[in-house]
Amino acid sequence: MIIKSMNIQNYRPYKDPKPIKFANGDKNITIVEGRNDAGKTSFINAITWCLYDREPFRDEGLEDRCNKLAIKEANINDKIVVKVEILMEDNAGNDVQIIREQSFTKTGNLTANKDSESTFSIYVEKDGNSTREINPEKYIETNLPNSLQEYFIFTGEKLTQFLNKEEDFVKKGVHTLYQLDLLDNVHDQAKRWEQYYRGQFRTINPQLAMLKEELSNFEESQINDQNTLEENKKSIESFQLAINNLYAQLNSYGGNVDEIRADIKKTEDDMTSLKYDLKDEQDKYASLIFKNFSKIFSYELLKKLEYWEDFESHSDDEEFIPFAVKDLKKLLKRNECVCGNEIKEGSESYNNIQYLINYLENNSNGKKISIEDEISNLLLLSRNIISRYPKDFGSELDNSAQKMAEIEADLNQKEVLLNRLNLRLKHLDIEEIDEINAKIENYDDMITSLKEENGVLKDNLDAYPKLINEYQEEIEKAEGEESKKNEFNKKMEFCKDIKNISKTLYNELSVKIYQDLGEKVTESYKTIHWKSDYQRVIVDQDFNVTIEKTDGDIVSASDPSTGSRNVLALTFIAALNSLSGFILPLVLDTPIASLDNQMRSDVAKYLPIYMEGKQMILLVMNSEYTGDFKLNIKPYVGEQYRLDYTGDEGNGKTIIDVLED
Amino acid sequence: MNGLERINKDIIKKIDNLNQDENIKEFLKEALIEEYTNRNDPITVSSTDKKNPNYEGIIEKYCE
Repeated sequence: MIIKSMNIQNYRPYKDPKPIKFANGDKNITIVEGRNDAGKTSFINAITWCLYDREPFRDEGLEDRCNKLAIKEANINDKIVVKVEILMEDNAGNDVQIIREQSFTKTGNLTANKDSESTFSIYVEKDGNSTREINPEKYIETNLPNSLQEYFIFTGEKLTQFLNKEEDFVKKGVHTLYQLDLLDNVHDQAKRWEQYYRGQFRTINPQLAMLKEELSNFEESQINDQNTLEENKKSIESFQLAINNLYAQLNSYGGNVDEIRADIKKTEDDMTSLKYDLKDEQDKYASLIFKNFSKIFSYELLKKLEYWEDFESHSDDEEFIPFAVKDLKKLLKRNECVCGNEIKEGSESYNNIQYLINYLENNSNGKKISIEDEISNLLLLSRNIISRYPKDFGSELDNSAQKMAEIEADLNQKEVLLNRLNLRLKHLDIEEIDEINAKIENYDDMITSLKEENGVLKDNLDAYPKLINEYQEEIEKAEGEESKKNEFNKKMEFCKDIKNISKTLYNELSVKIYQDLGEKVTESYKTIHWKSDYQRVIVDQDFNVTIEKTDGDIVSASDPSTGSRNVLALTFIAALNSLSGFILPLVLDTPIASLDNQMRSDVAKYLPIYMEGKQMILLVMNSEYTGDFKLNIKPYVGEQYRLDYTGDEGNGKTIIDVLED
Repeated sequence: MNGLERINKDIIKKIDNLNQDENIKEFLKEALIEEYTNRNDPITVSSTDKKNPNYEGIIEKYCE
């Protein structure tokens, strides 16, 4: 950037604003001369304060930024604005107005308190429009980096120390000035992005091949299952046809075997059922008999005893007695009484019955016997027993017997039917029919099996489209990622190329710069001031400056005398500036103070040549801007000013006047 | 290319003379402008991996 003008107001010794134009172009040097304490150092501090809010060249003891005279002339509580305004031109030719200001309030005769920290604003005029920069600090950092200030604004004192600063001072300066730092950053970013893309490349979808294989398997299974389903359907049709044919074959035998067999089976089932019914009824009948045994017996006995009661009238009945004896014997053998109760051998009842039996047997010839009393007792007993049983027992027993007879009749009918059916079957070719039936059964089994398999196949076929669709979507996504992977790979390789190329560029340019610097410094130093025993100035790759003597010895940059050392520093700075990627004004405050007249004359004569095209602002003592120095530099001077401090020390102001020839 | 005038002409010259594809050369120039424009910008160097996000678009543009 070119500095076009500056206007300082109420800043330190500068009170009244007055624009100072700086030279540029063919006559690129601006001279600002002034005696001690005229305001030269404040002049360069005004530049750094405006640009960076720093005052690195400020003398100790001068704390107050606000001009004392301005404070003095103001009223208490009046606001006083300290302001430095610099007009620059950027590399594209646009005017850039840079303003820093700070407000103070008068508190006493010569005292003022700052109201706030300084404010900073930048306006860029482009195509006739002035635009305020949103972030002026960033603008300055981009176009005139703070770190470069030490390489373009110097005092004579700083100049002396320039080549003796800390180890990396020059190297850092070159790095930034030449913009090698930009290239270094590009290399660094290419490396980081290469790593990033490598990472992305590695993480993207290693599963694609597997997914494709699985999809292929599913698709193949789908086709296979569909084919199997169709084949099974055909097989089922074919088996069904075979079954139909076999049935036709069966029918050709003239009788429906199945029907006959079904009738046989039904008849057998009916008979089984009837047999069960008969058994049930028999059990029921037996149960009735069993439950009513005493009654039955008593009833029979009663009939006989009643008969017997009238024995004489039945004396001819020979059937009666043996029958009674037989029954009594059976009872006695089972230890049962005629009343149904259990009787033990030897008991009274037992003996009574035994007596009765004996009596009956002894009188079986029809003779009258005297047992009326016993008979009366037995009659009474029998009647008692009978009276305790249900009266409908007889009809129940008769019904049961009738039912059994009916079932037996049914069974007989079924038996006849079964024989008839079996007879019909005997007339058919049973072996052949069984074979056909076996085939039919086999085909039926196969059809059932195929239908079951088809059920599973249909389920599968219903599921395949969704499954395949899911896989296709996943593969599509994976293929998208795969293309992304290729893209990442491409970008990774691209960044790798950039990384390597920028590194090579950086290395080659570094070598070129220190070689160029060495050559330029040697050339200008040789021209401006040269000792006969110096061979060349060496700038190594770390930008350390040494001098090679004619005898081959290498001496440090501090070897020459103070004046000569300053010339070396000046030539180095000039060379550095000429190689710089930035367009920067070189601002030097009293750089020739330590030089003798010859050196000053040579600096004035040759330095502008090496600074051709570069803007230079030289602040010199009025005593220095005389003689050969002035004569030699004059052709390159575009603007010249004189600073003069007037008023009381500390309470006055610097007057800026254009210096006439 | 907007902003190229801010870059050291020696570096640009060196890039132009590279025996590389044009996209590489153009990328280098644009990356230099990006670095110039956002020098020491805390936004561009604040991410954990210190990647300048503005590079993504430049890489996209020139990576063929």
